[in-house]
Amino acid sequence: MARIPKSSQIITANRLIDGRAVFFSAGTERWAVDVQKADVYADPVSAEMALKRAELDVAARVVIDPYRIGVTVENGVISPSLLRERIRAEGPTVVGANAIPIEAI
Amino acid sequence: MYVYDDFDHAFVTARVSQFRDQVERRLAGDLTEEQFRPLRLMNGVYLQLHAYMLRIAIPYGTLNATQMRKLAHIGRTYDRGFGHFTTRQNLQFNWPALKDIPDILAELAEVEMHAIQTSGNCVRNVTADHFAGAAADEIADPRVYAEILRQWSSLHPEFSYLPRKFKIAISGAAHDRAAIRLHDIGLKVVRNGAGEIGFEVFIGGGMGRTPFTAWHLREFLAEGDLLAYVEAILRVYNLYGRRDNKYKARIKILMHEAGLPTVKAQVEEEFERIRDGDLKLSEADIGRYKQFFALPDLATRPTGSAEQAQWEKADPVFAAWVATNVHPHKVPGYASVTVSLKPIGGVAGDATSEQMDRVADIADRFASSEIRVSHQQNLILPHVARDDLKAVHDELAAAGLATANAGLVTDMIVCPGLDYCALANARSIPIAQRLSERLGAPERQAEIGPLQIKISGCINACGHHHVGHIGILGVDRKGEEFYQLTLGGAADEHAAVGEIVGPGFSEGEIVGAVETVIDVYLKRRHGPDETFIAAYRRLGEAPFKEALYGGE
Repeated sequence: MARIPKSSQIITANRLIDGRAVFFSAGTERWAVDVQKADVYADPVSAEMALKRAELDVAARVVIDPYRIGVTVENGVISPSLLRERIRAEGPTVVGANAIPIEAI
Repeated sequence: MYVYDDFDHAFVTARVSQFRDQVERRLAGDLTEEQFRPLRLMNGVYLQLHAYMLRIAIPYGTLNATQMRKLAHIGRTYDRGFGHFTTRQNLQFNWPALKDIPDILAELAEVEMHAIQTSGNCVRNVTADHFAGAAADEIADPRVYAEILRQWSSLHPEFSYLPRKFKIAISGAAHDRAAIRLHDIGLKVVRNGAGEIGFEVFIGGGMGRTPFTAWHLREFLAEGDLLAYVEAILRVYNLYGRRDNKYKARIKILMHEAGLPTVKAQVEEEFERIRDGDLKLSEADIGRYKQFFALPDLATRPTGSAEQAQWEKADPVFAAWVATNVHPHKVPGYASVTVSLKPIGGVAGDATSEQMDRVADIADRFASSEIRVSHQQNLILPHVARDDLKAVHDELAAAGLATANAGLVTDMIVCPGLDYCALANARSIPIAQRLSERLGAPERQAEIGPLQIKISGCINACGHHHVGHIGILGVDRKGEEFYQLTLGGAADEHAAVGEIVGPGFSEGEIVGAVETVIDVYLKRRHGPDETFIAAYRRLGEAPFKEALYGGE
């Protein structure tokens, strides 16, 4: 999958039942559509450990193919570093009638 | 149009049950993703950036009003209220949940639709001229042969695991509106000296990372030999097509590496061996399929329409729309209408459920309930009385579907790009939206005239950028979107792969670069009658390059 980022990291995957892009936290919600609910790991070792925990949810049929992505955090707001991942987190950038924002569900 | 028989109904229904079971087993953990992936792909289910994507087959782009209403209903019930019409004349939903897809497929089966072979290394939806069965210049309706090919290729046991996907297109007229020279097999309906119908056969066209226009394989193939000859081609490809590298697995690479004489000899040898076997099509066989595609019962009308002429004088908006979006029909007093899915600043190929319902209603009232999808991502009402054009226009306009831009600069082919697609490297839709806004003023479009811009967000070329008069390819350069410009491509009977004009442009620069190219054309053309592509062929890339990169 994606190259291993050197910045702060979060864990992402697609949810099995509906394919939605989701983000990992150790809390009760565990996989959230809202990227702001993701746990941020400041170093690669803790991100790697979190990924191992996240991968348990593959066998549990919750998600498909978890992986780490780099993020920046400014004023508490998480923003994926790569455009592809920002679009996964925030929704299509198209404008107009069909530009339906990703709502947290 | 084709009507399912009992076998077809049973076949599609059984397939839905099979997939329902597969989804249940996946959700229950009895199938891993690795095991499930090929099964879902065989049913048109991809996993994209945000969600699953379901690609529904619309055979040769033909559907009726009932089917369109079903698509609208699915969009509303299971998705986000819109769908996306594609260059393969199919429909994609961007947000279905896996758990709902068996129900969606069951609903589709009710109206004789499915998603079989919309993915995978098999024969994909056979595409055809979107004015099929209606165009004034047509020799024969290509959908008759497309349907015969569909039946032959559906779950064909020998050709379900080809080296790579396989695409066939058919044109029923000399003017190629189906991009047949950019297909693995392109068929052009022709008449021989004796007046018999047959096909001119092209092979090995394609886009992607290694674009080729097709080789000319055969001057005349008799109508009855269609299946035997196509089977011979597929058999040769299946045997010799490369399986060691997916980027070299299409038949175009076999053609490039083995050469036309070798492949042709093999195909002809196999054809001779099987031509008088089970695949021979009798006149009765073909006649049976022709009945499915018979013209609807169109009332006799005078050739000219006083009603149309009067409204063209009275309403310039209507007149502009007639000039671009109305196409000559084979029956006097009728026309085919292009329903533009390219509103200025909109998303090319998208239609809301409400718009789909509206088109279905208009088709029922004014167009014998028939609808087509064009590979240019528009809809077509094939049989409209010229006397009804004003009413059809006004109804479409009320639904935001009467943009007068068919064939003009804002009628772009645009892939989903990085806004949706897991393969994309750069966004396509927002670039198209900005271009559309920049160039969309009616007088500006009229001044520019016919010009095809095609945009892809990666080298797989779903947006057909190689054959755009102006092509735009999005690439990723160190995490930034960059856009390469190609000029001089064409998808019609003068098919050509465009040339990369020079270094790429940033996301901020690309719209201006396209406008620079257009301005050079407007300055250098011999007059409004010389189209962009004609001027480009005369001038070559030099003046465009000079304007784009001049001082560098």
